[in-house]
Amino acid sequence: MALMRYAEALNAALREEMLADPSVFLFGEDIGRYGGVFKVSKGLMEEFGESRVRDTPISEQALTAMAVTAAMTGTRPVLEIMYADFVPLTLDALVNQASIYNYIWNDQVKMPFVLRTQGGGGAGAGAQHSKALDSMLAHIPGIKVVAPSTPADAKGMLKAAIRDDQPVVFLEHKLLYNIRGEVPDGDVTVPLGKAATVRDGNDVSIFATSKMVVEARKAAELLAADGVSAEVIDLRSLRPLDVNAIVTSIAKTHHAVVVNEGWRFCGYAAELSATIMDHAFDELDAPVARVTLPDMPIPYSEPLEVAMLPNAEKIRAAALATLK
Amino acid sequence: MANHPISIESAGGEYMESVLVLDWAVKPGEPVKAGQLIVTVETAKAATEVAAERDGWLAETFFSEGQEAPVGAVLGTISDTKPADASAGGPKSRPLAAPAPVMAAATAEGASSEAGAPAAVAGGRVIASPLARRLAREAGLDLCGISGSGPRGRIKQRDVAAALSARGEQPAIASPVASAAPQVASTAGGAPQAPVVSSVTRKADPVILLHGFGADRSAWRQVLPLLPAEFETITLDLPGHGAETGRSAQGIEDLALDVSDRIEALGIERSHLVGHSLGGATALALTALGRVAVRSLTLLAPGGLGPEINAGFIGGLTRSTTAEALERWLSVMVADPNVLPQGYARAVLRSMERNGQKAVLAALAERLFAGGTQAFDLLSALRRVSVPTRIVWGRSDRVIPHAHSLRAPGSAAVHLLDGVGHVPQMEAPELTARLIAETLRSAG
Repeated sequence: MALMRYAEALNAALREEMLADPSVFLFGEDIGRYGGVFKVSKGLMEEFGESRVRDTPISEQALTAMAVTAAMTGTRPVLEIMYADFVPLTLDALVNQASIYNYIWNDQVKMPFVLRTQGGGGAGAGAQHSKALDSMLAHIPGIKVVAPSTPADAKGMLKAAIRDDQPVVFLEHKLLYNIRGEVPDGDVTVPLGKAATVRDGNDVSIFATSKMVVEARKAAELLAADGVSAEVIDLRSLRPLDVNAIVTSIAKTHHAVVVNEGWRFCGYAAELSATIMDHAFDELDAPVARVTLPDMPIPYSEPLEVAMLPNAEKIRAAALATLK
Repeated sequence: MANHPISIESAGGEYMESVLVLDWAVKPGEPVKAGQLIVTVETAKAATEVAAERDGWLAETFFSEGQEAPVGAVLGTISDTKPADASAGGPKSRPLAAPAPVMAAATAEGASSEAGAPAAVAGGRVIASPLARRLAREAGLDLCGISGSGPRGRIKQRDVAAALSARGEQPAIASPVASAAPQVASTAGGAPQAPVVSSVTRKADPVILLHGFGADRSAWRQVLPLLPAEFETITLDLPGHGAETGRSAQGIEDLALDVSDRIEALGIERSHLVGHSLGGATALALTALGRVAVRSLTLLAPGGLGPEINAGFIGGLTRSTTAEALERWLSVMVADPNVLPQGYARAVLRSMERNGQKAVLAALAERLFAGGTQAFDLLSALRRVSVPTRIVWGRSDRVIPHAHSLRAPGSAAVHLLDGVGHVPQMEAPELTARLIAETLRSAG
């Protein structure tokens, strides 16, 4: 075990996978000499050279098409898209190419690439640099979408994503890079598609990913003071989704709060709600509560941004409402 | 104290389904005179004033101002006597079609009455969480009698747990939540209030009420509120009736077995039985079965004590295709047709036409009353009954002759009611309730 920051854990995962597999290479904007805007690839260009860690021009559309073709031709590229807000520029390659080639060509091609990006608000980055577009990505069949919340999962899941033969979108959060946590030593992977119960509880289940898990844990503390025993499930992976973990928890608590930092309408929280009703309707003692961003742009003004983003207090209120 | 419905039949046009309640001119508890404006409703064309049809007191209102009421609904009731609790104003959340199907069954007195309202009912549908529904289904518990403590009166798991615990049962779920729920109660201000789960075991055995042919459990709606509060009451739909249209029965034993199964499924070992007409016959057959310990029997114009039955009435009931035709047959049922609520025939017809109930009823009638004869004889069953038994019959009964009561053994009390036809519980609810109560109490 070692105490690491989230960004350091990602760096360690990249480094270990590059050492283990020469077909793994990195590219993206400012990831080489600068080490990445969030320092995730710090030192890797020095260690692995300019052919395996490439700085590219600013064209997310071209970069993603590059990842698709590089993966098809036998390498394991790891592409960094600096902000999730720029993901819409990558969508043609994801929706019309990466996600369906395997199907169109009857499994004759594999698509082992990772698209790393970071999203989310709370950093005063304004409407164009604060979005969590995970719902948009999780909507695409044929692509895995994961969003770990701890340094240990960040490392273990990035390693698993690089080894996966399907395209994996790896969602990070700008406010998670500096959190610290214990990370197991050595070659430890965390499977994609498995949720983790990060806090046991009996009264209400809170489901979240990424930074929202941090808020959910805080909410559970607040709820404990209220006399409510909340269970927090870190889904870790948006797609594939660990439905079993969801149903098991609801069968225990009969109350569900789903949290997502993205927009509400057609959002991931809506998907979770529907999944719960599909699989655990008869376990529900109250309607599923959704805690999401309102359907509006994220303001630059700090007080307004704070007011809009889902947080522990809003999760607590939603949990209490389901228990009424 | 009879309650008379305030109808909006006359207010609506032919082409509308609902009206909007604009203004109550009278508050519950206040006196009204026949012809006096009582409520204004908005129809498709205009605001229409509904006048009181009789003198009395405004007893209850079922729709508040601004609420939509279906045409054919009972807006409220006028009572012949001043309501005891005139302060209990405010609309009750029971917008029911006429005749109001009664949702009150088990009175769940063990549950906190703080939530107050009866089970939340919207258009006759009980509002309950999926979990509460599942648990109630598994326990054979009727949600209609449970008060919901959740938002908008929704019945939640804790309410089912309270009802079961009042019945002396643990909820049959492998779930820790039942014990977790009270924790919520400790929450500070603004937090959810879990009801106080009372684990009082019921002192008295429950009373099971069985309706007659062609009716359903709502047949008891006038009587139920008048019964002593210490008795839990349970109303069931007989096979082929009400919510049980999907099932039928071959004969009276079948009916008794079916009801017996359901009583056992409720976890009830001892109970008082009250049965009307076919329900009375079923109660007798059920007593003869001996599977459920019967504490007392109150039989209202019961079947099974003689061969005669008004075949025209039975046939008319199952064959009528218009409300007007049915109304004429229904008036045979009572001594004074005025006791039938306005719109009653239409509502009965609608309910019978739902789910093909008419065909089910006709088939059942064919088996039970073939050729205008009661196909079952329960006289010997009645003679063997050893618990307090009371037979109540209207002297003006035109469906089953009250003379059948003269065949009752000396151990049974017989009450013959003047000016009452085949349906004492509707025609003389106070007296009927009193006689039921006396039977219950005589069982000790």
